[in-house]
Amino acid sequence: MAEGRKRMRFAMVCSSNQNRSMEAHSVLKRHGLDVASYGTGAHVKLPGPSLHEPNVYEFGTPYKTMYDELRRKDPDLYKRNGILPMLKRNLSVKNAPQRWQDNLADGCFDIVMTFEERVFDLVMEDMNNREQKLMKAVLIINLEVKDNHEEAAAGAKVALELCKELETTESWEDAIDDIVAKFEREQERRILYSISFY
Amino acid sequence: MADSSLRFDSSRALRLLEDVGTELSEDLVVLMPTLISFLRHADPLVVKKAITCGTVLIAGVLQEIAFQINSFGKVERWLDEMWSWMVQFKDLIPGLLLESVPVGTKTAALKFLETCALLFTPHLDATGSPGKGFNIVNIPRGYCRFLDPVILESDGIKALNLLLDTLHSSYSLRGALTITSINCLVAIAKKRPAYYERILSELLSFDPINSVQGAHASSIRYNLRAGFLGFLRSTNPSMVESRDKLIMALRGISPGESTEQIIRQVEKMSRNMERSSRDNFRSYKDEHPPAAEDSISRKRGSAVLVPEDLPSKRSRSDESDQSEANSELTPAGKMIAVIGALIAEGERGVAPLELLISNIHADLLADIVIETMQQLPKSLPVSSPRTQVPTGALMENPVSTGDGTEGKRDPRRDPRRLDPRRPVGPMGSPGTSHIQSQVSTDATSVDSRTVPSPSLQSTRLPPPLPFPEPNFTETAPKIEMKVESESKPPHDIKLTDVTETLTKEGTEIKTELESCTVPPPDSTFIDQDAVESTPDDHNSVESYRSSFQAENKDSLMEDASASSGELPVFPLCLELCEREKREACQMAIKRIIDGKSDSCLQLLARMVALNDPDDEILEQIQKHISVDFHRDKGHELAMHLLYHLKAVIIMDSSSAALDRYEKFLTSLARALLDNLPSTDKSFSRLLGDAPLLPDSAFHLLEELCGMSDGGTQKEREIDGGDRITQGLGTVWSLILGRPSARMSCLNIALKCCVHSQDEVRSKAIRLVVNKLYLLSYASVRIEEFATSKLLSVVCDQTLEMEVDQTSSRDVKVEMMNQEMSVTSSQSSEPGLSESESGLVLSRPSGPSLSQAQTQISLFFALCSKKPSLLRVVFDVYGKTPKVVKQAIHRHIPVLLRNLGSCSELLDIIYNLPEGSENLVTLVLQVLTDESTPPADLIGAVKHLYYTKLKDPVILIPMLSSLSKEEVLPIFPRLLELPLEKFQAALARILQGSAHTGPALTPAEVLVAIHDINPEKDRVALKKVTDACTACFEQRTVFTQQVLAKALNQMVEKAPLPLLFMRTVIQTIDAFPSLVDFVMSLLSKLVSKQIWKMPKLYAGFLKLVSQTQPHSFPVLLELPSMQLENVLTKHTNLRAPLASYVINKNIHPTLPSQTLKVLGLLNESQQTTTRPFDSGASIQGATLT
Repeated sequence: MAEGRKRMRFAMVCSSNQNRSMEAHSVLKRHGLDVASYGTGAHVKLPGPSLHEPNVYEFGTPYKTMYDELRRKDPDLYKRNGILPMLKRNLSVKNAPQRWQDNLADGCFDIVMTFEERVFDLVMEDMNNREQKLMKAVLIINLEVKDNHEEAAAGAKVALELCKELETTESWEDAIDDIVAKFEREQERRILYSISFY
Repeated sequence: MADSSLRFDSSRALRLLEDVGTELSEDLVVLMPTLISFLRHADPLVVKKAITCGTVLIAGVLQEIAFQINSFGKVERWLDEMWSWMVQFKDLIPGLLLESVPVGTKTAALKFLETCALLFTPHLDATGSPGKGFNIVNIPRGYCRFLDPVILESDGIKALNLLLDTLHSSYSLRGALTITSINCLVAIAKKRPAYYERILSELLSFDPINSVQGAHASSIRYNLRAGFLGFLRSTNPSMVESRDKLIMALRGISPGESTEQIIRQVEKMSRNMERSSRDNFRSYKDEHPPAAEDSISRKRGSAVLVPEDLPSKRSRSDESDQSEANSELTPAGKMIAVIGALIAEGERGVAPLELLISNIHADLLADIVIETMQQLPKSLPVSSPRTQVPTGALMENPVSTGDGTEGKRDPRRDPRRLDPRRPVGPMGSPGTSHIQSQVSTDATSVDSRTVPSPSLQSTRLPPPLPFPEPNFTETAPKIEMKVESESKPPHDIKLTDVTETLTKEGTEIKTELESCTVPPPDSTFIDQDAVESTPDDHNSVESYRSSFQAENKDSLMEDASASSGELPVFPLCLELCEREKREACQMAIKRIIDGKSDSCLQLLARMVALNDPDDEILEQIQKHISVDFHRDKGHELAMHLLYHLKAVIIMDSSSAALDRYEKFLTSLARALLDNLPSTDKSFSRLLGDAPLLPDSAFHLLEELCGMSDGGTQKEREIDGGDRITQGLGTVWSLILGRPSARMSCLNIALKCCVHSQDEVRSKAIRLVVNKLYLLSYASVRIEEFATSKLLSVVCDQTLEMEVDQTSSRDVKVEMMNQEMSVTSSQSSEPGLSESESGLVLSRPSGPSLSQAQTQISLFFALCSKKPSLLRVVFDVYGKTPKVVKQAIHRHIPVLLRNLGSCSELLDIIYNLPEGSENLVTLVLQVLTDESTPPADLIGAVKHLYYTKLKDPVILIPMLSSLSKEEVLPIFPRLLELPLEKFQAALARILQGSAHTGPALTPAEVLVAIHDINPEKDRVALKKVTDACTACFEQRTVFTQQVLAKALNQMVEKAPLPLLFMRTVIQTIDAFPSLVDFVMSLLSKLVSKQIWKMPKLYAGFLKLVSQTQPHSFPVLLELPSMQLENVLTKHTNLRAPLASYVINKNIHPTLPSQTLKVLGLLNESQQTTTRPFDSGASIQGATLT
């Protein structure tokens, strides 16, 4: 029976496809899962010299370009706040940040993980707005993770555990309540899930 | 089929399904049997995939059919065949939902149902046209036997019903299924607004927390919330209409700022929309006649269907305009059209018609009847036959005699309009008839809402009948007539006949009865009526019941013409004595409860309304309610009972009635608390909806909030804080929802704010401060209470001190009494003062620190919302005993960290109340702890220092932000402070602010210290030396460079600072490597004629002696007289100095006077007499 089953495809989604989703992408990829990552924002935003001067890029701008540009601007600052190391990590995972809303061509995912309720809302809204043609169910899980490097690393670990567990279950529809309840209890993180269709 | 399923193992099946894909082609027809067989495959994955495949295909097939009809006017054969396979497939899906298959399969099936519901119901696009894709509106009727739009639509409604059933039967389901059904329903409601109201009412009545056990509740709540938000954002008129309901539901599901924000956003959006749409609407109105508009915008529109419309449509052969009419009709209008069409089919239409009617939702059916009734001839003698339901039992019941106007009431009116929580509520002066009407309308509406869609259970009873049933109490043939009329309501000629006969009877009975208030009961109701009214013996009840049930089932479920059972004729009415009545009633209730039927609720409610129940029955029912509260719709039943009991109270003013009400309510509430988890909202809902809240309910609430006495409280601790949260949550909702209970609830919340348990207190304070304090009607009372509590600890202790002084037991008692009167006069509520004084009495030895903290926590929490209250603290601080001060000191930092330096605080600092010096010092310390003080705060503190409070301590926190010019004048005052304080000040001065840098550099500090003139500045010299020592202790700050710089500056001063030499000595002690530098200083001093400054000179000499031989060059610089003086005083210097001169061979450069003092001149010149006998030294000199 098992050979007939395809492997699950995972999507990690955060706002800018830089920190949380990329950390999770990198971790899941390292553990051999079939994973992609996206951001739901209108632009890719990275912290700048102050709160009001973020570095804004279009989705699709290669991480390498951002890396070079920021290193030119203020190597000290961006090294200190962890942006340069993060970009370096990202460019070893994939070429450029991708936008969730434009990922139609990437095919169906089985599990979508978001890391913030706002992102979760946007993914749900986007799924509802799409024309549902394949009627294939997709599980969308939100794991609340703060947008900083430490939390992203911790969150990615939880995401990995969660995805591994889901991949091994026969039918996630039956198990999801228990899995979520277990993770909430063990990790003390708030988890939400919903179901949509492709 | 089973064979073909066996032929495929899972992987092959999956591969095949993969290949089927989404493309529709002629070849697929061959695969359809296989696809259908996969629905029974052993591997759930195959089943799931097959359903998914079918979902895609059914849409594709219909799309293709629409395309072919539009393009060629006909459908190819293969497609026809394909469709007939699809119909087979479709009919198999509902069965899967009932079987025990994996949830994944069921979710796929739900999606299939959603797709069907969307495909099979007519829809209009934004422009109001049916659009290009598949739309049943575009399918000509009778085009092919499998594709009848009427049947399709009934299928669509059936699919919707199934989805709704799934949602409501989700007690035993998993979260994934519930969530999928919610999402599917939301999608349908959005895309098919005609069904929106129905779906919304189902979703609103769905309780996300308690309905699904074992599922992930917050996810379900989220999905429900997302659905409601989607509706809220929609511009569809019916969704806009229900905005208030949605907002209420949203607040219920997820109260909090984020929801409020979204609501505000939507409201803003809708205002803009309204403005723009008003103009559009005006122009639209000009173009369209009002009738058409009515039918679209109002659900229960007026004459949508003129009486002759239906037959003419039936007779006409071309149906082209029907679809057009359909699209403009209300759901009820559409259904009428559909039913009409089915009737026109004659024999062929019977089966679908039956199916359709059995599936129509109660609401919709009622609408259909109302609409058709409007078409009846005006000359009919009775205006609304719905209200004419004469029953024997009614006559006996004094409660149910209402006034005559009730006949005109819309029986489906929402009972919540009469809800006691509404501010203009009927609580104050409800008349008998008012309450009565509540009872009866409530029963009706619950009835119509809760009649479940019966599609899953073929044996279920049909929805409420639209017609009066006087015949049920009479003879069987009339039942048959009714059934006939029910199954074909729109058949106008027949309908009129029937109604005429009915109404004639109605009028007959009407003369017998005064009036009737009972809503249209469903057949179960009538069953019950019969049970109550006719038989006097248990056996006959049974026999009547069973025979009637059989009859009932036959007549309703099967072909109407088939039922013609002979029933025994019963007497119209039987008089029972009181005892018999009671026994019959008890028996009936027991049967109903044991029966666990779905209609239990309606029956019990009616029973209560009809037979004023005694205590025993109440207890019985109460137990029943609390056993399975949610499943048995306990809340609704409890409300029925409570409203009934309330009505009894109004009629019968004796206390017995009130007692009964109270007993029922409190015992039910207690049972809910005991049986249900603390997260359950039922308790809160019960108190919120009950018509009257007696004192005992508040006592119960207090107990829940932890105000009970010791024993029960300990039990409660097992539950942790959840119960308290529940109690406070209830208090909060009562305050919001029940204006009359506000004060009592507020008092409970306030009492909790001074509770001795931290957990209770902190939760209560959070509620009071964050929620209640924002309410205009509560804020004054809250402030009063908090202030009185603060003052009470202050006064309490003051009294206590006096007591100590007098140390007389009698006086103490007297004081206590006084104190009691103080507290009770401060609080306006008598109930509260009692317990407050109780609190006071329970601690006769004055408050401990924790008690004081308990009493004042609320006040400090309020200060964070209203900083001006802080003044009270400052005002009383001076009089406050030590313990309370300590408590205040603990609260202040927490408060200030939230508050920062606000204008109110600055005002207080500007005008500081007496006695609060320590407090302001603490405040300043906290304020400047982690951040630099703002300019206005500095200004205020300076003002305070220069006007009122001369204590430099208050300046210390500001020092880092002051400039050098500002610091220097106060430096002597700082020096006077105790050493610790001075060190703190020093640290601040050196720390400085980020903008200006330190006020003084370390070197400048040293100079400043030395600049102090003890006499002139009136500072003890000891303080200055201590300050110097303190500086030297900080080696990392006062480095050798700093010292060198400072000393360099000081040495240039005239006069030299008093402590200069002392510092130099300390410097050389601390940093011996500075010896060269010190020597250069000494040589400067020599040039300044240091010997003329006796105090310093002593130090100079000491240093010179200490630092030999480095100091020799300096010594040699001294004039010979001084040198001689030195050498006389420090004789030990002479020989080393002389030998130094000889050794270095510098005597030629030295003046002869010096050499002479050294005794070197004699030896070198050998001529003069030796002034000193210093053989030893000469010897020494020669030796070296």
